[in-house]
Amino acid sequence: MAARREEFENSAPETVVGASVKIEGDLVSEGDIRVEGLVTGKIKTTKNLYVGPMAKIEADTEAGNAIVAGNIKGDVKVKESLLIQETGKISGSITCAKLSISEGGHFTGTCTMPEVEGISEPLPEEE
Amino acid sequence: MYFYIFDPGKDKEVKYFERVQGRLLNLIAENHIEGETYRVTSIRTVELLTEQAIGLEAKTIIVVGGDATLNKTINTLVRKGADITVGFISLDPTSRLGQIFGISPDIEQSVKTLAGRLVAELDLGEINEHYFLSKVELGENQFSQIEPGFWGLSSVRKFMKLSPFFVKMSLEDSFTVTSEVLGAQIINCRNNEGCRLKLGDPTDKLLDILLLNKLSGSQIMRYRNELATGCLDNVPGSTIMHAKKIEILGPHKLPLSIEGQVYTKAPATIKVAQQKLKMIVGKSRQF
Repeated sequence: MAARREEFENSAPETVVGASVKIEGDLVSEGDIRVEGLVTGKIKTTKNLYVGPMAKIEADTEAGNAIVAGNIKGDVKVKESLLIQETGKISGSITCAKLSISEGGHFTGTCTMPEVEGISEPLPEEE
Repeated sequence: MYFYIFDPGKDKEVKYFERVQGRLLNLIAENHIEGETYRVTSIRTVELLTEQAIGLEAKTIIVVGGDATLNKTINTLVRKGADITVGFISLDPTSRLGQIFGISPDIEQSVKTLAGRLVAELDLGEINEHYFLSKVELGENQFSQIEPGFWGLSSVRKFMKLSPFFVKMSLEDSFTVTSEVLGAQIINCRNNEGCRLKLGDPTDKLLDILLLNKLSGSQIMRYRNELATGCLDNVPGSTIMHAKKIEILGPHKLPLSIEGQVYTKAPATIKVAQQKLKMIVGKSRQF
């Protein structure tokens, strides 16, 4: 997890929403997104999403992976892993394959974690 | 057929051109890329010569001049719908477009680049029927027009005088962006030298939007070197987005400039033009 966090922080995201920026509507990108400002509407990317500590999102969010250090009000759908950091807060339903919440991180809502194929089925008993 | 447009410009460039003209013509002949040559005058403008080249069914136009000459030629070609490859020999050693396209200020090298004929299909930006290769700057704060000076110190005073302004734009008819900024650029291609990020790829069919946050006096002092490079993305917290179509919604009458010249005012639409430009580029191009 720490390695992924570092990767987020060191790599240059393709879309950066600065702290003074307000976005209304559907923010769709094919690359990584970093949000430090305000977004209302919808966020969608197949890659990585980073929500900064000062960010406020009132939107349904879809991403490949996500790290949340800010505030999200809305449904969050993440294909792989979602990390809610100590300053992060999510109010809404979460769908993800892997979920981590750091100490101090907030989450209010429901969480759905799809079964991974091949693991859910119990092994047949040997005769 | 090669069609050469010589536009020595003014003062320094004219003197430089007079000095290198003979050598340039020899190099062109040595590299077997000779053609018809015409010099721009007050009555024989770049636009008229470009139209003449189209009429003569030239296959390649070589612009020998500055970035402004290249921009005028491209605009005429696109408006006329001409399918002509463009080459460039810069008479200005600080030519931004020359650096982006990997064309050396040394005429021997640039003639070799032309003879090599490595052709790239480039995107053009379009703003109210004007076509551009480089970038549009929004508002009065034009960072690309501020000379950095020694250690960026002389530019600090100029940066301090800049006032932040609000900007509202719509991207891809999908979402609106509102922000108070100190600088705003919409980039088709740029000289990425000294920049943290590689932005402005003229082959990706996208324009890059770069917004610089409002900065305090101490932040301007701290980031003076980053600002002096003209790469606003070097300042932490800058906004970067990408789109094919951007509508500048406001404020009303916000000036939109290319290379320091105001072309139109908001509201205006900036988009990737449907037409492409065939351009001879060098191996050291920045994309």
